[in-house]
Amino acid sequence: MRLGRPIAAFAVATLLALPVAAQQVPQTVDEVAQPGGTLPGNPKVALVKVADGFADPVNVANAGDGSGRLFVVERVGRIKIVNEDGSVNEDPFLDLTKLNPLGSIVQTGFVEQGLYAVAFHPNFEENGHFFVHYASLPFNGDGMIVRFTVDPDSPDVVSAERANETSKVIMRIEQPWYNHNGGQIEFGPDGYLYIGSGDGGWEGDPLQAGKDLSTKLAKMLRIDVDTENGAYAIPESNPFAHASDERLMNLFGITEEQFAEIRTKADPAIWAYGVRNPYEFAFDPETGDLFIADVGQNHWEEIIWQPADSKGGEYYGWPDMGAGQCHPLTGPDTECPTVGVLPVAQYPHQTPYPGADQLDENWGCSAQGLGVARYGGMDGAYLVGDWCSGRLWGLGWDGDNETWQFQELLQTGLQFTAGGLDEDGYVMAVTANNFYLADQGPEANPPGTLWRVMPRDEVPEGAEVARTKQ
Amino acid sequence: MKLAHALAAAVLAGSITTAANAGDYTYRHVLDGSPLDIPTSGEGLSDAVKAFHRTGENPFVDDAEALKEGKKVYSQYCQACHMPDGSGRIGPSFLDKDWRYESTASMRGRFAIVYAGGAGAMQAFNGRLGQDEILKVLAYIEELRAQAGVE
Repeated sequence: MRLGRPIAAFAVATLLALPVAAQQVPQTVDEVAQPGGTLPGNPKVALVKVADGFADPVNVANAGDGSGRLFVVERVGRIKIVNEDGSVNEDPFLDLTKLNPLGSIVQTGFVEQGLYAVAFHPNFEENGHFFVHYASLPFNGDGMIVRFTVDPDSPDVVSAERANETSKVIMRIEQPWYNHNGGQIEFGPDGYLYIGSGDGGWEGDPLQAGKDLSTKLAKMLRIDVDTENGAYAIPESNPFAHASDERLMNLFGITEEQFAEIRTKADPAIWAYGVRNPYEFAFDPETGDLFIADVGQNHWEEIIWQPADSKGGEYYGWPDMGAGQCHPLTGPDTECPTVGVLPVAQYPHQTPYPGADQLDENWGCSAQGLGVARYGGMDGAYLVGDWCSGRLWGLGWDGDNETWQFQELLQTGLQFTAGGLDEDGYVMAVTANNFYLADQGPEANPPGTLWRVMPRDEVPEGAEVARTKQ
Repeated sequence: MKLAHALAAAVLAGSITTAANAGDYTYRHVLDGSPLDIPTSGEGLSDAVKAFHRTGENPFVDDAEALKEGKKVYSQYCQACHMPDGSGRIGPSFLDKDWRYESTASMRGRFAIVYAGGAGAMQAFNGRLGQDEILKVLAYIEELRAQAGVE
């Protein structure tokens, strides 16, 4: 005992002496970063146009196969290949509007519906498996996650026949309403498929799905797709993998902690809960940390950070809180307990609370995560574009000041919808022209664009750069 | 001299269509101030549009027929962000004395932002609206301001 303390004190002192403190999740609302920060090194970036002419592009991914191809997801239900030279293949990689003789299988009736995302299997080069998530027309808007397999003799075009032959439905997520469908699917560094699943829609989480472990809505899900036994398997280390297993009841000799592990209705696919609309998320390619851009309701947007060593099971607060704010937010001084795990950053809408004066600066309306940048002085900065203010933000840990920094990098005239990485690790962004009432359908809206986020001093000569506020 | 002749000839032929012709006015993008290439004369433009580019006066202000059409356009494209009465929500209010940008205090500046876009969701509406329609919706915004008693 007497020996223990000095050693512990010495260990603490050593930790404090480290030049850069490790990232931390904020413990109080005051610690949640807001606009106005400066990332370490104050990076200067530009958006360089790569290709355009897309029908409501809403995501972009690479296949990790060394081909240099980018796959732009069009909301209408197509995936277009952009080659390394910026040329766009005329024939889509996948066309969900042509799989069924009765017409498209993708519901695009509301702007938040459509084909959301594509994810390539970590062993795509060998097995040709890729996965899509879309709002299904025949299933009345339910989210369908389906695996297809590329024909090695036709690497750039998955024909309708091939798609139908190889399709394997991995999951169907029932959607009660047409908004907040989440969308992003992506393989984590652990090889499992992560799924961003929204709260089902309407507003205010009418189902209270955020706190309901029996529904896949309002969750981050994690599944093992490498199984021939059924649609997917539950990773043994999922936080609720065995919470709902049938068992005999023992009341004595059981600790409270052990009782707390019994959740008789918990869906074992849940990785974390209490998210509203995790439409975009991304892993840091170096550390494996997870960032989630959780789209907010009337007043605040939030960015969640989950360290790579997380065991899952976090409650991120929705619908008890939205970002670091009370929900419902009734005025400037709404009081409520801080519940769950806080986000690391938040930014307001133009009116930060009911009755507030409109902000001129530092506001947005819908956080669209792009990807984690590890270049141009950005040391793991998560880039976030806003759908209505055209702002591009960077979120990063400032080890010197032991705080998260949230910095406006650019204000553009663009409507960011999503992003991803190219094979070289550059963050890519897609922008569309489909803002709510101006949405005339993915084929009628003015076409959208694919951009690369580049350090300003690396922009190639003659490249077209997005217009930004001076 | 040679250049002047060429310009005069082109003007006579009605083929010069850039902002350089709009009197002394150069339309500029509100974000970065760069000049915009807006057709201001030539075929396909109505007399009202041409007159506007010459004078900066919107001929549709107080024109009941045009206001009806302007309201239609406003309902479809503007009110989601700026609200039916123009009081603003995601987009700024039209009912303030001050405009969001210095340039949008003038009708030509407002024309430029609708035509070529501003920030984010304030997209370039030249992909969806003709210049005539842009003037009509701008006239309707004047009507909203008048209704709200804004000077």
